[in-house]
Order: sequence, then structure tokens, then C-alpha cells
Amino acid sequence: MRLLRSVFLFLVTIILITLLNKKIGDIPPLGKLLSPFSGFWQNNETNKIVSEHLRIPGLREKVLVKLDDNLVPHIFANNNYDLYLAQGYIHAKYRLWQMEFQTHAAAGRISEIIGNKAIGYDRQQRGFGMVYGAKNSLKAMLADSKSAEAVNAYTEGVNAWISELEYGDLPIEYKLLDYQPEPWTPLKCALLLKYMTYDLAGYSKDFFLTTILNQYGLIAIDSLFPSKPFINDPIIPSGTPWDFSPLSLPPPPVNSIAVEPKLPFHHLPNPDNGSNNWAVSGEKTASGFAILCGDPHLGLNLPSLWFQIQLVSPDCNVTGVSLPGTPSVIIGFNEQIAWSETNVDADVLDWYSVKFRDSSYTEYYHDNKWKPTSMNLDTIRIRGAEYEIDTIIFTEHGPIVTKNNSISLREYIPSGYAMKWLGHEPTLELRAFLDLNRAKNYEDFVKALGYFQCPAQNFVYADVDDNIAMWVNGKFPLKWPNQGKFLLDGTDPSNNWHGWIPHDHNPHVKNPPRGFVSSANQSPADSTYPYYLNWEFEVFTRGYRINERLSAMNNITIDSMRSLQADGKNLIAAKVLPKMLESMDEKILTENQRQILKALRDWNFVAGSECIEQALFDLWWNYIKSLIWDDELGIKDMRYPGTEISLKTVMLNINRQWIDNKNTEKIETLNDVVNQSFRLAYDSLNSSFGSEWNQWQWYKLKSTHVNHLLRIPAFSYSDIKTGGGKLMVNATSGDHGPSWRMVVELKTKPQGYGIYPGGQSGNPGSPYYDNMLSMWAQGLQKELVVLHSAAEHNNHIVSTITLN
Amino acid sequence: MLILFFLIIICTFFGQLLLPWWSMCLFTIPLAFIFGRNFRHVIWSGFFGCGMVWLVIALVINESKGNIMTSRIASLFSAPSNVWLFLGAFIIPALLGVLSASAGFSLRRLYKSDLHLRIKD
Repeated sequence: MRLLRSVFLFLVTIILITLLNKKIGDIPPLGKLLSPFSGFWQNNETNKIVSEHLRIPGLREKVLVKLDDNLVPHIFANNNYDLYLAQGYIHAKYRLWQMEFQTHAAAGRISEIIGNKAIGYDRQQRGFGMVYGAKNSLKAMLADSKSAEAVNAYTEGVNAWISELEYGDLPIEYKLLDYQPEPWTPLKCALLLKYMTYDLAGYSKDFFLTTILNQYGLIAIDSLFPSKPFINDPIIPSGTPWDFSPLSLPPPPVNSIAVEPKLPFHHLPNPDNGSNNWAVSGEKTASGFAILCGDPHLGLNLPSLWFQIQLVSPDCNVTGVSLPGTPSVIIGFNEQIAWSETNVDADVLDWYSVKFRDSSYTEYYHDNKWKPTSMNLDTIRIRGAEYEIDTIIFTEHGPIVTKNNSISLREYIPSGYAMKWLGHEPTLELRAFLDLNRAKNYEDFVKALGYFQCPAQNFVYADVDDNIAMWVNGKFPLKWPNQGKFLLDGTDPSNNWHGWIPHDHNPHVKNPPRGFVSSANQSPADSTYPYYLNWEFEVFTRGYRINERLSAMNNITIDSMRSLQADGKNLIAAKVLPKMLESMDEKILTENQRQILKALRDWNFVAGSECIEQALFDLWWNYIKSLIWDDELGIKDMRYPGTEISLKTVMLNINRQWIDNKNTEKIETLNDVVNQSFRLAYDSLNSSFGSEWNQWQWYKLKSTHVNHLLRIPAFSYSDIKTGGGKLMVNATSGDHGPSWRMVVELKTKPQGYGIYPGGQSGNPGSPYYDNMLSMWAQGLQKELVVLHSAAEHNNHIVSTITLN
Repeated sequence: MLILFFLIIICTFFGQLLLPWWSMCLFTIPLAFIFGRNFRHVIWSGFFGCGMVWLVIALVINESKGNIMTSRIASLFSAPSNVWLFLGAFIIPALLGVLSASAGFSLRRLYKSDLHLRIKD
């Protein structure tokens, strides 16, 4: 009996320890997590920033890291190796979990952390060739001595931090998901850059367009998906002469389009990614110095995408934002120049149909002969389950991304699509950033851009000598007009890409007569530009508004630039709302409805956070679009035309056959659509926010949120009160928006201001996790502390970390 | 009587500075074996000894490092207040303390007779 009792007590103790020591389903390991010695309690932090002396293996000389009161590190190193080693160490100290998680996501390794749930995502990332592309880029990086030095030093720095960690020091996400960080590698730096490339240049509309083409024919394509914008104010001002003699374009084949379209890929990056940047020359500013502004609109997440930093070595003193996971500063300024990027959205991703000989997938037909494929066996490790082997087949076009990403391709019909993507090429963006960080003048800037290939960016430039410039910069395939607008027939080699547009033929302009340069993802150049970059770009609104304001403004100051970044004028409403109001039949409306229509008539089209008119307009306009297009184009594998076409349709009352709802017997007119959608919008606001329409504030409908990468509500922020919205200069929508706002005045000693929606620390238990969020929401910015020497006194510097 | 309680506190505290979170059991078992008088004695010593150590350390951290993460974790578990986490940080070690102390003491019972213990009491 006693023996039994003893055995029983021991057993229960052991079982309880085991249960509390591991993650069960979604429940974290409670014993480990609740222990005050090492669990979540240890992740509490105060706002005190302490000085430290640390020994870091691998450092060549002493490095000083001055921390300011916003937790921004200012790193002073005596050589570049130490500089990037320290950057790696500091990035890891504040953002390790995010760095590792994002690179795991890029590589398709999330199943290792969360198990079976992520297997579809992982297969897709691998099918997309992310690791293949990253390995190619890594080879290029390691072959370039400057990039190799940076990436190797950075890796050593990250690993120095990881090796110091004990369980209690781990970021909370490791504790909740119950896993450990692995050593960092240079490949992870390449993966992080590919993650950004995918986000910005991984979008493809070819499949939707081909489905629409097959269903409705070329006339529908030409009228609804034209390759020329309706309203255009291009990035490079119209009339700018091209300073090169263009190459001749490849001739388009008679028929290049693949038959039998199949969805090549399910998940696509968010098309809301976009950005603004501009620079004004000294003649337009109050101080006489050029001012440069930039705000990249990306997914808003916590921990924040960006990490502010200043990097100082004998040949470099650069301040700005970096991407945790990669060395250098990505957007910023040094002692002579400033730069910022927006996305070009060039078409560098095309799909080729592939004809396989048989279901062994070992040969495919191309250029009138059978050619061998190459196969990669890829092991996906899955937490709590067996591993899975995925086969990825490569043709000379690129990897085959199968329709349903099935485990064995043998079950799939012998025809897939190969993905031709510039992101698979060995590109060297890191070198471009290393050189930009050190550029002293326009020539250095242009030379650095020569290394920057993908994702193509509009680089704005300004310097202390009052030069301003804009380069629509990247490696662009030489295509015939509209090549890759539709899925391509992969058997015919004339459908291949035909070489590249030379770098100095990229659209660019320096010191234009109008005194400013700007970009907002719109069409890069007017019709005189001799090359094809894409058939569709961002709608005119943001670019148009920025140019309108900059043309009108003089005596520009930092403050007036900050307010332009926060500008919420809705140009879509300005164009289309008068026509919508004109089409309303007021007789059948209630008194309340008539009153709100009156408010809309008096509206100045500015979408402030509390604006009721914007809330109603936004819903109303969305209902109009869906009533016009949904019956024909709202079906699977198709898409609506661009905003411009909807605008044109309503403003000019054209496209009447599309306006009619083909599912009803009645022939609907524009008036029917406008009136019906008004009632739908009104009713929807009524049911969501109540009948008092002073409660219909725009921010409630827009519901801007900044989510933690794991979508944990306790680590996220929702219903942030901000104005602006999609297609406005202040492009803050639900989960996208200005991920970093920066204004730099190019004085003798350049001075910058900036903000991002989050904070420097990746730890949700730190006051620096979210301390910039409310300032960001209000459109305010912080002065960016710039030190000219480690010894310089600055009131904002609160502590020093000495590394040796 | 109190020696077991204090020894459990000391060993639990110092053990955890180096060993895993459950290391309190490694100490409580032999301590209960050596110093236990009866089941009631080892149960309360284990319960309060182990539980107090975690609770006090959690309170100390709350004072020194703030409670931003504590509040977030409470919200993660949909707990209405941080107090529940302090309760959890008390109950988990307390339970393990009870179990391991009883287990240790039950071993001793295997070797020594009830009578002998009662007399000693």
C-alpha cells in the first residue's frame, strides 16, 4: 500500500512537471512561462536605459554604442567590420525574434515553429523559389568584398548576442511558442532582402487578365484594362528629354498568350504597398536648403519593420532606418546626401505555361525540342509531425509553382506554370545600400544605384549642394509592349525576356526646372519613354496631389512638408462625388438622408479621422464599384478594373453594358447604381454605428490597426484614430500605411525628423515597443539625433554600451 | 517544525538561479524525506515554501521592472486582472511543492514505521 502511494506521488509529480513544461496545442508551457525566474515576468522592462560594458568575440577594436532617449543606437566603430558586427549585435539585442521569424517565413519554415497549420504557406514559399533566389543573391554578396565583409560581420554580431542568451532573456514569443533561436547565417540576411523583394515585386496580375481575356475578349481588356493611364502626372516630368539612344525593342510574336490558364499561385502580396517621396530644391524652401521627404507605405506590424540607427565609421556617418536582419541603413541621410525609396511596380514576374513530356516531369518542350528539367527535393520539417518532402521542378524559365502545391506532383496534370522572376537572379542590393550610406554627391548616388536591381525603386535624392534628383531604378527586362500582361506560352523562346534595359536608360531627372521631384508609385514616365516597364501603375491621386501642392508651395519648411505627408485630401471624391450627388433622386430619401447629402455637398474632400462625409463616401463608392463590376468580374480568378476606369465610368457615364446587372431582367443605369449604392452605404453605417450620423466617424470605419506579427491581440493595437486613407497622400488604411515618415533638411549639417508606428524595442513588455505609435497617429515626427563624434555632448544621449 | 519550510525556501530560490523551473522538486523530495514529520507537516511546508518563493520573486520583479508584460500576458489569457497571474505563479510551485514533499515523505514511510514517527512527533 505504502509502496503504491509512493509510486503514485512520484508519478503524479513527474506527469505534472512534464505537462507544465511543454506547449500543448496553443497553450504555452505554463510552468516555464509563469516562473518568475525565467518566464514572462523577466520580459518586463522599464524605460531606464542602462550603460553596459560587454565583451564581444570577433570585434577588432572597441565600439561605442550611444543610446538616445528614444532607444536609438548611435554606433561608433573604427572600421567597417566592427561597425556591421555591432549593428548585428544591436539588431539582435532588440529584434531577434522578429529577424528570425521573418527569415523563417521567407524560407518557408514556419511549420517548424507552429506545426501543420503552416504547411500550405511553407510549400508556397518554397515553390516560389525564395530560398533559391536568396542563395543566388548570397553568392553575389559573398563574391563582392564589401558586401561579404558586411554580411559576415553582421552574422557574427547576431550570433554573439544569441550565444549570450539564457532562457530567461529570450524574447517572449520564443517562450509562448516554446522554441529556441538558431544560429544566424549570411543566407538569412539574403532571405530578409528577398522577403522585401517578394513584398514589393512579387505581385502578378497576369492570371486574372488572362481569365478575363478568355471570357470577354480583347475589346473588354482594351476598354477596362488599358495600358495607358487616363489621368497621368508621371514621376519624371513630361517633356524631360531622354539622354540616351534607346535599344530597339524585341518584336512581339503573333501569339504569345498561353492557352488554358490555371491559377499559378494563390497567395499574392498586398497591392496596397505603395509609397511617397519627394525633394524640393532650395529655391522653394524658406531656408534655401533642399528638403527631402519619404514615407514608404507597407504593412503595419509590431515589432516594427524598421529600426532607427546611426552608423559611424571612418568612411561613413549615416542616420536613418535599417531592416533588422540586414546590415546598413535603407532610408536615411549622411553628412552630404539624403535618399528615400518608393516602389516602381515594374513587371518583373511572368508566368510561362510548361508542356511536360509525361507525368515524370523530367522533360519539357521548349524551342522545338525536349529539354531536361532539374528537380530539387526539399524537406519541410513539421513540429509535432513527420517531415515532408516537397519536389520543386525547375525549367529554364524558373521553378514550377503548382496549382495546389500538392505533396507529390504526380497527382497533378502534366502542365504547370513556371515562374520567371527577377527575384531569383543573383542581385546585389546590399552593395547599393552600403555605397548609398557613403555617397558624397550625385555621381556616387548614381553609381550606387547601379547595384540596385530588384525590387525596382524610385530613389529620390537631395544633397547639401542643393541638387535634387529622382531615379526610377532597377534592373528591367527588355520587353515588347505588354509582354507579360497575360500568361505566356512557355514553349516558344520568342516569349523569353530579351536582355535588359541599360542602367543609364532608367528614367531619371536631376534638378528639373519646376524645382522639385516626386514619386508616388504612379506611371514613371510619359509616352515618350521608349521602353515598356508595366501596363498598370498606381492611380494618379497621390502623385497628382503632391505635385499640385509642391507646385503651389513656396518658402517650404520642415513643418509644411510634415503636413503634406499627413495630407488627407481625397482626390477620388473630389472628381467623382459631384457626379454621384447629381445622380441622386432626393425625392425618395428620408429627411436624415437628405441632410447627410447636404453635408456631402459642402464637404472639402479632406478625410480627417472624425470626418463623417469620408466614411459615407468611402462605403458609397465601394458599393458603386461592386454594383458595376461584380456581376461580370467579381467571380473567382478575375479582378475589377483599376480605380481610374471606375472613375471614368461614373464621371462620363460610359461602359453602360457593364453597369447593367446581367443577373436581373431590368437594364440598370448609372442612376440606379448610384441611388441603390447610396442606400446600401447609408444602411450599412446605420447598422454598424447607429442612426445618429455624428457617430459615423471615418476612423471607426477605417479601423487602422497595427498587429503583432503573430496576430496576438494583447500585443497589437486596433482602432487607431488617424485620418487619411487609401489613395491619399496620408495613405493610412486598415493595415497598411506610412511605415516610416522622414523629412530631412539638407543644411550644412543635415537635420532629419522621422517617426514610425511602433518603437525601437521588439519586446511587448518594454515601454519602447509602442512609444512612437500615438505621435505617428497624430502625424507628428521626432527630431532624429545625429552625433558627429562619440564624444559629442547631446542632451538626448542617456547611456553608452561599450563593446570590446 | 519550521526548518523544513525554510530549507525548502532557500533551496528553491538558489536552485532556480541555475536549474530549470521545476528544480524545486529535486530539493523538496530529499528535504521532506529527511526533515518531514508527518504528511500535514510536509504538505504545508511544500505548499507555502515553494509557492512563496515564486510569488515573492514575481512581486519583486513587478516592483523593479514594471508590469507591462504582465498585463499583456493577463490579457492574452483573458484574465480580468494581473492578480490571476500572481495566483498562478503561487499555485504552480505550491502544487509541485505539495506533490514532491509528499512523495519524499512517502519514501521515508516505506522505511520507517508509523509508530516510530508518531512517537517522534
